[in-house]
Amino acid sequence: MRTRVLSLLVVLVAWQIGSLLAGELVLPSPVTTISRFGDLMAEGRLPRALVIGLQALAIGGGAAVLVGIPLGIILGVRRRLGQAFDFYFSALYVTPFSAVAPLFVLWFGIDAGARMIFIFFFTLPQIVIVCYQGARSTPDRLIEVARSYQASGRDVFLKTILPYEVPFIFTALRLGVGRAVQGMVIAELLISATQGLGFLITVYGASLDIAAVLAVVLFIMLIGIVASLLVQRLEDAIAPWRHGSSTSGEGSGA
Amino acid sequence: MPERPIKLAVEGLHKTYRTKRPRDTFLRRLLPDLNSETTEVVAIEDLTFDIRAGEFVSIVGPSGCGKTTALRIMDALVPHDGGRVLINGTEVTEPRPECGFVFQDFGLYPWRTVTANVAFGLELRGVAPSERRERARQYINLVGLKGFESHYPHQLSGGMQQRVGIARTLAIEPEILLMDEPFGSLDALTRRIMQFELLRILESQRPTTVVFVTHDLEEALLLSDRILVMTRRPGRCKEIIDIPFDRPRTDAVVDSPEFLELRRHLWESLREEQVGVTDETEARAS
Repeated sequence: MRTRVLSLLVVLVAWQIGSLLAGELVLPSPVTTISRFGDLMAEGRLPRALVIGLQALAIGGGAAVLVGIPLGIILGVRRRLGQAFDFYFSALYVTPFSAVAPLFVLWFGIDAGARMIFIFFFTLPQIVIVCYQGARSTPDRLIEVARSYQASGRDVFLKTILPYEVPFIFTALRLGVGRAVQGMVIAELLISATQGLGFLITVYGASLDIAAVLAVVLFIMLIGIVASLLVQRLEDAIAPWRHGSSTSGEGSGA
Repeated sequence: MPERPIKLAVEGLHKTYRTKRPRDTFLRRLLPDLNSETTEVVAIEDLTFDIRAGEFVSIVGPSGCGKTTALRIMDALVPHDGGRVLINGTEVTEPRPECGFVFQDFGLYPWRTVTANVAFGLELRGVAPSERRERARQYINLVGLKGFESHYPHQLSGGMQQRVGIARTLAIEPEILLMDEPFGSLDALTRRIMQFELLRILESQRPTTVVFVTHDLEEALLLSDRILVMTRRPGRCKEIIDIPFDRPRTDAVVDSPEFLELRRHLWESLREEQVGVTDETEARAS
């Protein structure tokens, strides 16, 4: 905790110095930005903009989670399916979505539905890739142990591969939440720029209110941090074991 | 000693490993599937021996002689290419409920507590949860882990983890215990303690038949009724040595003249084989 506070202080001081060098107009100081952030929160603009985006975030991101987790696991368990399809998700992951956003407008319009679809495709590859890697990395040894107790294929899946996968699912969720928030903002910037946090950035940017733009970015970062902490808490409560520190994880039979 | 029935018979076992080897290092990295040739390594050739009910038999041999492979074939964890393994007179084609396997690297489930790990085999066999817990508790006590029931494996030392592994295997009450260098990854002191622990545990579990793979000669001498020495690859049965010490065995056994004499004999027998392995390795390297 002390290290974090110290690190935050260093960043704030650097930001302040940068602001003094570049001028308040180009790079508002931390104090200006945070007070602007306070104003926007007090006026309720930031929370309202978030609530508007939340529906698309929940549905698009939720669908990506519901589809991505089982899809990743299936690709990881069925080797040939994995080989046939895994690179599509790697490709989708590096796709410059801001560049193809106009295509989404063409195909799906500019309503909330289009934003949901955009968030879905933006978040999906992240979740699939992490779950896929997890299922694939189940140590052979653990599967062999189950077989030595006459486990059926179903037992091996339910009692070995799936529990091994749990920490990977949480990692996928943590990264996926961040990705979905990003997707939400990009969609609001480029698909239907009439409301939401992305819209606020557009408006404040156009009126050169840099402190307000930074305040919105700060708000988005905070959402990401809080969401990721919540997932972490959930993981600690549900999956309190660790993969790394036990020697039983890796097979090394000679 | 009255002649006891044959529990486990290995008859003319063969195992060949087929591995894809690269033709060319650079191309292989680019196209590993296309640019390779299959090479065959005969790991085990015509391995034959019998183990009687209640016997403790160790298998020793030079590195790479296929002793672990042989053990895994006995529980059908890997396929073999010829010969057969019989347990109680029937051929083994899949992992058998009569067999319990103890792994060198413990193979504990990191997400299961000690109790849940020990109960794993019972769970797969559909034993009711309350009975499962009771039997797990009983075997946790037997291996000396009382008080650690709700610990996770990562919270335990190596020796304690293998105690869990042994308890998990004993909990299914196997007729045959197959142990693959179970103490091989422990430090010397812990290993010696675990050897006597195993002797103590087995006294209470008799008549369990044990097949024990190790490269530690003292360990084999201390624990076994008979020791099977394998040749270097391709592994065959070189000789079988009877170990005459009375049970229950104590520390005193280790210092007896017979023990030292047997150890010397084993060492020479193994060194002959190991020298061959070393020559081969060096010849390949040069």
